Amino acid sequence: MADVEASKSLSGLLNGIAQKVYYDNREITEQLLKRELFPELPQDEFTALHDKMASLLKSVASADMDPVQLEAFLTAQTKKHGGGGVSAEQAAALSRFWKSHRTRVRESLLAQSRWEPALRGLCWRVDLQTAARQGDVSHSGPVALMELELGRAGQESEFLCLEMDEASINQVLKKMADIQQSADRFVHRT
Amino acid sequence: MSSIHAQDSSFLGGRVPPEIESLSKNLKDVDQEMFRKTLKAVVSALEGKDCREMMKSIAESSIIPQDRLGHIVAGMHRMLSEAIRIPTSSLKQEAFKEDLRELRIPEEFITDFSSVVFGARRAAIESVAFQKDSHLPTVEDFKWRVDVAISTSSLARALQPSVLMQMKLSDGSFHRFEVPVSKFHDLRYNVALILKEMNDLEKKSILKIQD
Repeated sequence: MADVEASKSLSGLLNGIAQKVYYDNREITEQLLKRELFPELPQDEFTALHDKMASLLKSVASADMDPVQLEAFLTAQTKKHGGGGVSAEQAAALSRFWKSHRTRVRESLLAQSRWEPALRGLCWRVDLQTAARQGDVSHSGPVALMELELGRAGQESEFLCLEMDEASINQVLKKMADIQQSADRFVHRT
Repeated sequence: MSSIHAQDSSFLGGRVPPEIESLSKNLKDVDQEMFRKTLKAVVSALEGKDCREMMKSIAESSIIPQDRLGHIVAGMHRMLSEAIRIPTSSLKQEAFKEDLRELRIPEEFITDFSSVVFGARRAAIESVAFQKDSHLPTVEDFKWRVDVAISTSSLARALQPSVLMQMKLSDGSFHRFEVPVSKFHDLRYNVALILKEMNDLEKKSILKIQD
């Protein structure tokens, strides 16, 4: 029973660290984790445990380890003696955690190195203009109105509105096919 | 007079705008040279050119009181822009002339007005009018780059492709943004869908609008 509790607390700790470090959740602090998960543990021991798990997680995350790599890494760590070593429960908790969080952590780390505003969303509408204050529009074709939602990480979105006629939609689509082709060449090689 | 209106309504619609209504009164005893100079200034304004200097020299050299000149310019501007608004297929030159006669515009001025509305200047004025119309900016230039991040401060082996796009819009602004791969697929799908919608729309004959 105590083992189950201990492994729950360890999982909680890893989740807490991930929230704090990778998911940008400012509400989670070391103090909160200590109070909620390890109230009995002396402060210095908790700090040591916290730092060890954070550093393990950092190694696993920055290398984006696959299951085989993780297994090898944890085996090596459990064989270490002294304070730096990892216990079997800790290794198991880390392994469980990584299985379910790998994709999300990787996404978040990739986003940390994205400095340009990123495309967040797209809305569009196709209009047929029927009349205008000036000029004759009855022979113009349909027009697409697009709204691109752009934003840097942690900042509010900006909206970019533009319009395109059929010819420019066609051009953009051709360019996107080129982009796709060019991106595919790399994805297939790696 | 009213019977003619009933048969073939004026290009100005039911109610003639006051600045056009008063045009004949204001143009009384304006000589042709003066009229042509003013018309030239109004036309260049309609073509989107700066006509302040031209207007100033007209105002300085003319004997017409400033406020009357102001009314003349306003009337000409309004009348020409109303006339050019209507496609030539709907507003015939003869009908236009007839409408101006109804407004008691002197015959020699009618010829000049008509040569603006139906002459070589029309295309230039129309294209400016089209730009002035309420529009969102359009894409003038679209550049892209596919990046593969090899390694970053947070990931030892990122190897993640991403697309960088740069658009120059017709309002002169530049926008650069990154498109993550998943969003790229989303964007491509939607652009293709827009094109399909446009093609479908063109097939629907119910939406073919004719004069």
